[in-house]
Amino acid sequence: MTSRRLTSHRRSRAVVAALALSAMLAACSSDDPSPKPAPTEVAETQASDDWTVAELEQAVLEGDIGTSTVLATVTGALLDGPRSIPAEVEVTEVAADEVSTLVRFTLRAVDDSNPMLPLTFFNQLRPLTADIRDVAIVDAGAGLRLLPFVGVSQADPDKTLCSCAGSPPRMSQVGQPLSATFPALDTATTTVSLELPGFPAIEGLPVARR
Amino acid sequence: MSPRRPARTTRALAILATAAMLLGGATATAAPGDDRALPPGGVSVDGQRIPVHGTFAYRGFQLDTNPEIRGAVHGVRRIDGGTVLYYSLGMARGQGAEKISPTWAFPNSSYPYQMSRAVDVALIDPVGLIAYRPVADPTTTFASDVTKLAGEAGALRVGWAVFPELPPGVETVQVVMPWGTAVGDVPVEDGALTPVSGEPAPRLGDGWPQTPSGAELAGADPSSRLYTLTRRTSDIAGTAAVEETTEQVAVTLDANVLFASGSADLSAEAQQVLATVAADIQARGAGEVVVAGHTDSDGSDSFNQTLSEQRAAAVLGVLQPASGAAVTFTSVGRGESEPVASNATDEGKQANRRVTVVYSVQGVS
Repeated sequence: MTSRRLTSHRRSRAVVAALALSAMLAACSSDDPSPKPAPTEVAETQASDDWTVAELEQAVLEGDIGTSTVLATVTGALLDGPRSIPAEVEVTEVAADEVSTLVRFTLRAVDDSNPMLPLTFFNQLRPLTADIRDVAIVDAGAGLRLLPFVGVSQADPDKTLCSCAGSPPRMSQVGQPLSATFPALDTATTTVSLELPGFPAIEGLPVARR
Repeated sequence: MSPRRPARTTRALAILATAAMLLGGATATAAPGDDRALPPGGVSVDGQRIPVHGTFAYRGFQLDTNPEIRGAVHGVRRIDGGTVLYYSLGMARGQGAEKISPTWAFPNSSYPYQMSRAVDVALIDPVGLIAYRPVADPTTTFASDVTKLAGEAGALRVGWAVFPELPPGVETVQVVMPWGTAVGDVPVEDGALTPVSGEPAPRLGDGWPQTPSGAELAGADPSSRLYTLTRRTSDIAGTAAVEETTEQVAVTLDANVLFASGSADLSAEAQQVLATVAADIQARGAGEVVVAGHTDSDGSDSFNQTLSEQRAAAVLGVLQPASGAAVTFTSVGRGESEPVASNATDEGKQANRRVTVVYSVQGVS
């Protein structure tokens, strides 16, 4: 990454961080001395680099590729106007890269009713984009709430995209893998919270550095 | 890249997670056992280097009753006339199907793309705030034929897509796979992968698909495949939300914090927040700064119109002297005419009571 590109990126982050600091100072909120957890290790794994095709396919198709190690589980409800649909979320990965942050989680029903889901449950204002753009992570140390990137086609303003998963039309007890990429975390950040509308904040999620 | 973690690291993660979740009020569970873990960066298979820069998992149509599709990203590489993404995908055995259905793997492609092409992928430059979709010309879509990619269960087949050329400074992009599935950061490297296979979708380890030549890509219109991205952040309290593109910054300030109810007198908190906004305008603002006041629907139209005008003017009065001479200011009151949420709920009304500050910025964001 060139320093020129990162300079402006950091400046824009600094604006929000400064705003956050202003808000925190105004609220005189924190004299909490709670220590920060240590950063999560991502260790080198194998001494041998020689694989067979079958081993590689098994590792990708059946192994834990950020989808199996459950970091936290929370129950809540998907909101559909006055109706709420009970659901469970398992967070399986928070991975911090240099320029973005990857979060993976699984959404599943708590019973066998296999309910149809409204497009608005994680997308209150632009449901026709059929994605989960309202999910957020909170970097408390930096004082920031981060949302996935959203985009509009330069050729056709009706075409949009999100660095986040499409909205599932139904859910069952099997579980739907969902994911999103967010702006980069502060380099000192070791834990984040995940905010999903209708669910309690999932706090203290350990951040893996890649 | 999502390497599987060794048992020791998994235990450490579980301990960290348990401690964190006990503090946070949620529950944590241990990880299942692992077989051979996928190392960061890639592996060698029969003497051939297989880069692995990230992994993904999704279910067709985002329905968890469909089989799970999984795969890996093997490269984002600059080639003559474009940028090629290499990935592999497949489906584990035992999911009730012998072969992947093409429509599970990718949504049906439509104009301007050919039918049955694997085009529901994107590259995202989160620093330059541009996203890229695959390129096409009037007769050719430069991406894998989905019907060739949809192989037998238990195997990974390699797919590809060509995107517009990335600017020289871009060294890392995010990859987004079908149905918005995130992969995370992937390095941008030079040159097509070798050896090249004669198959359109070779099994992983049997070489890489042939990519189109620069001459073949010359007829594609890259500009039609670009998306302007918005970075969205806010402070934790929600006092200030910032949406930023390469050209413009829009700050939405919570009027409930800036002002007392029904008043246009700025609070002490407002002075601090606005000083920060002004500093950013002074640093990189250009052209006209537009300050707009908005209210909820409580009260009469005329009262809300006047209140929104007064609040916008109050914010302008603080920003303008501190923002330098390179910009001009305009304030406007929108009253209750442009709600961003329903006025039928208290939460919606709170969101509607706001002041926005929109300004252009110079240079690459």
